[in-house]
Amino acid sequence: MGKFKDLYNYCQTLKPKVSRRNIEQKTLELTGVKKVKAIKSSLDTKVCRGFFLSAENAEHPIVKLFGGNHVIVLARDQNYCWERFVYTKELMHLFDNDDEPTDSAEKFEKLLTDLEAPTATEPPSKQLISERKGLWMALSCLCPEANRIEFQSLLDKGHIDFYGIALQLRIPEQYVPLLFQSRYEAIVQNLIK
Amino acid sequence: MGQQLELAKKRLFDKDALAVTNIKLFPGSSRDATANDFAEQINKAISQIESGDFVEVNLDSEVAA
Repeated sequence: MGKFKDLYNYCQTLKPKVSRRNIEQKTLELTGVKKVKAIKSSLDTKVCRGFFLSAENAEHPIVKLFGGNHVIVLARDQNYCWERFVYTKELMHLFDNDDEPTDSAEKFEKLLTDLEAPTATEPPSKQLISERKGLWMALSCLCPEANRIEFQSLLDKGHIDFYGIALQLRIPEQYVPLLFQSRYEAIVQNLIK
Repeated sequence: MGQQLELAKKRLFDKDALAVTNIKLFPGSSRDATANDFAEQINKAISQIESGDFVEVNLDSEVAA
């Protein structure tokens, strides 16, 4: 995750709303990936808001269509803030460690089953942990720490609410409270260590 | 396991299909979604992409710093 730390540090130099183009360019530079294609398709947002896909069969029409690049598929039917957040979370999978990709039918089935209802008898799979990490990584890129501290102070004074913060960050309001949970800093420190 | 999940496993991971090396997803708002429901959405999206039913996202609309 060393490379993510560099992205995180770069994002600290940006101001809300943090541009996805900036995050994308820095991510490509740090990971050595040439390009990521982002497209919109008709996904049911009750079930799935988007997905990240890397495939290697050069003969397959979809791989040919996207020139062998990684693809981020986003649901058409979601607002701008959701689109930004889902895109950024999926982009974070370019930082997946060697053991985190969902690269077999068995891991895929386990991931989907765990997303349906996490297991209670064994530790979460690397793939599921990577999904969770992506969410916190996206959050920490889209809200620079200096702004988060400022928002915390405004919240303490009762001068702003979560909706007002969501509007400035241009992320879904439901993720704003996560920024102010007591575990937030520990999670981010773990991501950038 | 459901039919959609079985279909997705083959379409994604067979070496003569996509030969996927990584797939991750952002679950939607319903807590009732099953593994088969997730697979169905992925299958749908793959079929749409194959038939050209998609639009590219233009990130340039977001002003760079």
